[in-house]
Amino acid sequence: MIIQAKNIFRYRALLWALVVRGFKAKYKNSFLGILWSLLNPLLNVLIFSFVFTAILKIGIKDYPLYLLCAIFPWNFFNSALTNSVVSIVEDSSFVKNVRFPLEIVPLAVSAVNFVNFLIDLAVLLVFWVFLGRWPQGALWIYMPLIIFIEFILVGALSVLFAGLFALFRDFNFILNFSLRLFFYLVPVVYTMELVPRQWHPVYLLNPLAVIIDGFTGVFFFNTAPDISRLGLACFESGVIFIFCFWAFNKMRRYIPERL
Amino acid sequence: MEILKAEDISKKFRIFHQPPLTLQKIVYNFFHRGGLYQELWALKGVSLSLRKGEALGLIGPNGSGKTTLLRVLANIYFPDSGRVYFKGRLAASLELGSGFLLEFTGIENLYLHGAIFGLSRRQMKAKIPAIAEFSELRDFLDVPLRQYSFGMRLRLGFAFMVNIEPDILLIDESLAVGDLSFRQKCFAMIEEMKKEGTSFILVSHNLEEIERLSDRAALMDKGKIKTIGPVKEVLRQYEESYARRD
Repeated sequence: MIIQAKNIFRYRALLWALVVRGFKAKYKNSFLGILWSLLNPLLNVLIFSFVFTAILKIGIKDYPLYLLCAIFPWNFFNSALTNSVVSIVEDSSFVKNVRFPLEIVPLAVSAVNFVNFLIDLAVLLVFWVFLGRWPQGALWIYMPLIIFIEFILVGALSVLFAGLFALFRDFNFILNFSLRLFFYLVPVVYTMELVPRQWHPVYLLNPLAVIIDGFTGVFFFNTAPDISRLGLACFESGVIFIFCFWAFNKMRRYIPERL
Repeated sequence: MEILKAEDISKKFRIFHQPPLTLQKIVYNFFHRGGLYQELWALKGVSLSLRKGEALGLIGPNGSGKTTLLRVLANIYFPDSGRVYFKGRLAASLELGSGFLLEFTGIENLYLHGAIFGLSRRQMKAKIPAIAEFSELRDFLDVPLRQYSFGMRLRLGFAFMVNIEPDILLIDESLAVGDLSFRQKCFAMIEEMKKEGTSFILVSHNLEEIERLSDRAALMDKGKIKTIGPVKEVLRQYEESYARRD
């Protein structure tokens, strides 16, 4: 594990170059690129707003604004994983001919999506200032922690999934399908309030549910996240992180020859 | 002095009849044992050693395991058994021109590969004039690799490899696309580097090239080293056993 971390650090120039490449690909025409990447979550906000206010009356005040807060952390999770799962296979000519720690490839894709997430947040904040909805002072301190936990979770899963896809080429179907289901297991279109109380202990075992709930808490409801739940999510993400890198280490040797 | 040593390397591939592998096939395979793939020993008990300043020519028919052996020596493939030892910096020029990121310019790729080999930007910067000179790509270093021809990628790759002062250089076939004058230049460079103590493993189907550059040769067939020894003898054996079959 420590050797793995050292190795990744040693190849940081490569990691950096791959991140830069990811950006170049994503924002081919600078400003428009950012707009395009915003379009997908905004479209989702629009659709869900329509469905859950005009058709199903969900009864959350300012529902579109709530969705706006909830969709960005979900969108980061979703797009980072769907983009990184194919990354090692897409870079096969590089992977087959250069010796380097392969996990750098999905990590770079996650990092690109992470920066994209931060840009989304900046846009959200500008919008929030415009609306006069600034989160209350003390709540700010939770933001970096919540974002950090999600980053750890996403980075770890991206490495595992990219490895699995390199070995089993139908894995991305399974992943896409699972992500679609998973979307309904986290409080994006609904709030924690609507989840029956007695389910909470089980429901909040899911670290992403805690992350998104914490996120909308800080940004929308002006409530501080429950520290013990956040602590548990942090611990779980750490365990997932260790597991993913360990599992990738086991897979590593089989990857170049399967490309 | 031995600089690289491979002991009893074996490498097994699973050749899937319908690649690539999917979970669906794994499940199928679980219930219907066998038949999904066949095992192929790409390398079977290969041992070799390389002395400082020596060039070993590797010849053999297609599919005999030459490239796989280079990938194992370069630590890209993990052998199923056996071990590889080497001292110093090992560089490998494998599939032609790959190993570059096509979206980046020549210069950016050079810095990137420099970083992979542990060279700082400053160290790399000092080497760029020599690389530009050797590759004759001075006017193209600012162009993304995507727009390079195969020959240009080869030139850049080779110029990089010889300029980072490797102790061992593995070259797979790649010189074949270079034009005559560039190849001559490469040969002269290889000879000069050998004098300075760099060791080479060269894979080629061009037997004249092997004869000119190598100190020893190895003939591979079906994943094994059939003969290893003086270049002339190995080449003769190769020509006798394979040329007539076609």
